[in-house]
Amino acid sequence: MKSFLFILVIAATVLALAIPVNAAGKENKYEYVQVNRFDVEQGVDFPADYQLGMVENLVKQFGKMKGVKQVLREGETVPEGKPVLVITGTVTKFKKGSQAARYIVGFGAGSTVVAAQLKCLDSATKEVLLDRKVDGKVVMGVMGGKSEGATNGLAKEVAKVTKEKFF
Amino acid sequence: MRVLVMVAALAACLGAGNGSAAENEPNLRRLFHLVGVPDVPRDARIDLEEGADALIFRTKKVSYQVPFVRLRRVLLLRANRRYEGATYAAAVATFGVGGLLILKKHPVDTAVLDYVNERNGKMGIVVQMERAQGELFSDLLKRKGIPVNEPEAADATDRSKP
Repeated sequence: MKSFLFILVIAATVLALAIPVNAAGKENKYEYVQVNRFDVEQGVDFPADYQLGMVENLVKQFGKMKGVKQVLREGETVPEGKPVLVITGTVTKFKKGSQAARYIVGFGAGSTVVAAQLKCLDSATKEVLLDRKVDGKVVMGVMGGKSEGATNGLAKEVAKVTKEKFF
Repeated sequence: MRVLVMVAALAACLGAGNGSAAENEPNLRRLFHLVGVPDVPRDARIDLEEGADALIFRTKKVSYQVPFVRLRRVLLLRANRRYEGATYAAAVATFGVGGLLILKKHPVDTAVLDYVNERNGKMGIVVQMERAQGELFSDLLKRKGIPVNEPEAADATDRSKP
């Protein structure tokens, strides 16, 4: 009887470990992610190098995410019959900040901020699955921290919120 | 003696970054990679070479080609760069005072390359270079028939979606 109970407990544990995703209530049906370039809201001066940097950082973040088989770029043909999650959005705020102010003054002075309205869509149905505000900041760092790091911060937050919802 | 060492260290740090290879013989070596070349970290030094039909980004470990025919748009923006390495060295050598070197801006050109991969997906590379190197890079691309967009204003920004 004891050994039977022991086997039952082991079996239950193995079963629980085998289906963690479903237990957490996540759909996890997207193995392909397409990262599109973000639009920029009228009146926001968002430099072109930051725009590209943001996309490249997003591609990097999704590339190392568990459950993502392939990261596609805007313009690439999506695999037929496979659900693809499209990541897009609009940059709504950009504060350039100052590395010198961050290093010399500190206490939040000279911080760089990039904020965006993130939209996650299903590529086939175009249904908006997630619509959320995300941001990236550089408040401190080595010698004040590079301002371009804000796009990396934003990419990390996008990866975090999409992972919570979809993967 | 200590003061002499501090002054020498500060002078050396002030000189750092200005003594680029571009001053003596213009070339596209030791550019700053910001983003886009796979497996090359941000701010790593990278060489740019002109191949027969492609731009070649090269480090000791990585060689990455972007064919000229795949380049869609090149932006050359005026920017400033701060050299943290030199500032850090100055700060250490001068017991913190040299940290003020962070206030010194080095004028650079930021090149934003917009291209497509073999599956027609939009890609991008951003590198920074000395102004003289920027002119050289611009000439190289124009020779290959690739238009280079150089906004007039300093610290120019481009709001259009690339």
